[in-house]
Amino acid sequence: MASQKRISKELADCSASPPAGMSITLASDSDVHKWHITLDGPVGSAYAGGRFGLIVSLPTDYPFKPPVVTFATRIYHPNVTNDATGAICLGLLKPEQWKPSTRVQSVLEAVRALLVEPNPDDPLESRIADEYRANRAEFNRNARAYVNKYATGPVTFSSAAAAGSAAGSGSGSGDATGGKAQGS
Amino acid sequence: MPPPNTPGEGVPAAGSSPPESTEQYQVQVEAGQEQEDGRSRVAPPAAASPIPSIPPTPAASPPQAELPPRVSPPPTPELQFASITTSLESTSPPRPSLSTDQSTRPNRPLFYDHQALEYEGPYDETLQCPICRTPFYLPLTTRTCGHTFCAGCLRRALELRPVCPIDRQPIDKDHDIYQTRVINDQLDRLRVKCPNKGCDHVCTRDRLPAHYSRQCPFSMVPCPDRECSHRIIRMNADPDKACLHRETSCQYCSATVMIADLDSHYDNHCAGHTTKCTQCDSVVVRHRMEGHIAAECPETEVHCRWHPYGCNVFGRRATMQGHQRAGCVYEAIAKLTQARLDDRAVIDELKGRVSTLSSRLNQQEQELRGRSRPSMGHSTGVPVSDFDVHTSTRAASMPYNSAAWGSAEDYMLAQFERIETNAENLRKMVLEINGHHNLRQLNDTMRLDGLISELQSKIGVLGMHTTWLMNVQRQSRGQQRAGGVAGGPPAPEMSTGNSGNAGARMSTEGERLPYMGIPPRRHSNERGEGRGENPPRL
Repeated sequence: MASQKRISKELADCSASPPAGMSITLASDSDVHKWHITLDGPVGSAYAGGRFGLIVSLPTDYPFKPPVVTFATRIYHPNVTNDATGAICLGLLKPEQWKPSTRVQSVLEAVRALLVEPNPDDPLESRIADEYRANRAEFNRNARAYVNKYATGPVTFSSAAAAGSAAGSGSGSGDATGGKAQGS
Repeated sequence: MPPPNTPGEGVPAAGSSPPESTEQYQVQVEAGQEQEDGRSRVAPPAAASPIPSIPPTPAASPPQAELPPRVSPPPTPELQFASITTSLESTSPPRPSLSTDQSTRPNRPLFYDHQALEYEGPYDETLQCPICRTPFYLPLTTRTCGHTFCAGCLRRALELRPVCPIDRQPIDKDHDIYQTRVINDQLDRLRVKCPNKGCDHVCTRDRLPAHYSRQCPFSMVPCPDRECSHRIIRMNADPDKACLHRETSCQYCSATVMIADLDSHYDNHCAGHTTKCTQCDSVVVRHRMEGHIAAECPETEVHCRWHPYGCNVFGRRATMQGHQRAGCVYEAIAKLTQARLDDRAVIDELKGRVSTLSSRLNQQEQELRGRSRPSMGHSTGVPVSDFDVHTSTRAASMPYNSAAWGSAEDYMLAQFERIETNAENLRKMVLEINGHHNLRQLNDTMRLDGLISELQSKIGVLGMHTTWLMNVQRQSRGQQRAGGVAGGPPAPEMSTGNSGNAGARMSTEGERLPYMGIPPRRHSNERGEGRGENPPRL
């Protein structure tokens, strides 16, 4: 009850003035706990021109527990698992760092900031982090390739579809090791 | 989001006697306060004095006066601590609950979800809890960093991690939290809507508990039947009526339903609860059929709306609407009749006014005749009519000329105006005279005032003289006596003194002490200068 009240309030705020480059919808009208966000790749970053789907799941005891934010669209990023789960490593969202006073809006802005400036010191994909540190041009090229491959069409939010498309077209990547998602 | 007042929320534990809801609420509120008090009590002495967090609910007579009042035993300190811990561990935070005492009071009190309250008008965002994003309920402030949260929100956050939910400063839930009264007062002034569905009452937040628990007709209250453990909307809780929680069988389906729930059963759940109207083909809730036929059904035959005015058209409601829309002839008649009635009312009012005016006119004519009769001697004799009277009597001062005055009424009006102006002049004169009178009175009074003050000062001087003379006499006597005994000098304290407040001391001190204003002159007197022998001049 309490969480619903706060969530619907935040949803109203976010819909009224969404963060830059984002649009927010509900996964289903009856459930305010699952948000679908379309995020335009920040201009000036390697992800410019891409459209990424983000899924925000708010737990029932939100705001006491952090929301879970995942990428529905695959992305080449040191802090996002390079598989269909799309888990994000964001300090703000870690249970021991989460503060009940943090709002979804600031979480979304943090995610966007993460695209502008990846954080290779706390990576989920250490290979990409190393590449980001050592060979920025190569990283940018790879990121752009992922954007062209996955993040150009209309955004789909169903993770199953994303997984299917990943298996069908992007099988060459061969890095879909889901176990890494919890590594960080 | 379920409505805050679903029966499920108010359903008590089974097998309990129904206590009074009001008492229950207060008990529960007190429990909340004690809990806060207990919290403050364990705080270090630097803490502000514990403040009850919930505004005192005004004492009002319980709604069910025939029930004996329940007296709640004051909780012991151990019990308070128990309540603190239990409520800190409870998962439904905003409800202060005295869980240890639940066995004796199984009925849940009238509670609403504070975070679901709707506020009327905007409120200051600083009054918003950063956790639940609603205006604070039982606000608590952290001592270490000064952040404020609802008691329940903070409690839950601290359960997870004992740090401030904003800046992660460590917080001891027993020592580092206190209340701020000013925030409470501000919150109390916010206007909220009653959370009950159907009730549109709006009041300040501190009055809502009273409204909700005592007045709101949509609140769930215990059934007036003391044997019954159910709750019922207050509106339907009539002590004279039998308990509505008996089960009865639905008259349409085979289900057994509580009498209190019959209406909602008919509307929503009754098997085959809808039926086709016998006249039109629309599907109607069976229970609402009568109302449908009386007001809605397009097939029911009805009279024209203007039937009372003579329209005899009679037919289906649908055609009747068409008939009326096309313009029933009798509508015009109805409107005319209405207009005539309105006019009649105006006419009646005017008639009344005319009659009062004419009676006043008569009265004035009588007066005039009475006044003019003495000077009527020279006229030709008994006047034929009032009109003649005027002709003859007013001739001397203001000749009445039927040619000059259009009619007798005009003449009367002119006279009347003249009298009125005279009266106005007289009033002015009276005012003027009054003013003169006042002025003169004022002048006289001022003169008298001067005289009186002069006299007062003279009396004062006379008093001084008397004192002076008495002193002189006393001294001379003393000198004589001293001369007779030792021949010593006069009393030394006479030589000091000031010359101020001459007349003030003469009543009491002046007789006991030597007169302070005199000594310099007495010295000069001793030196033999003649001027000092005279009393002070006026």
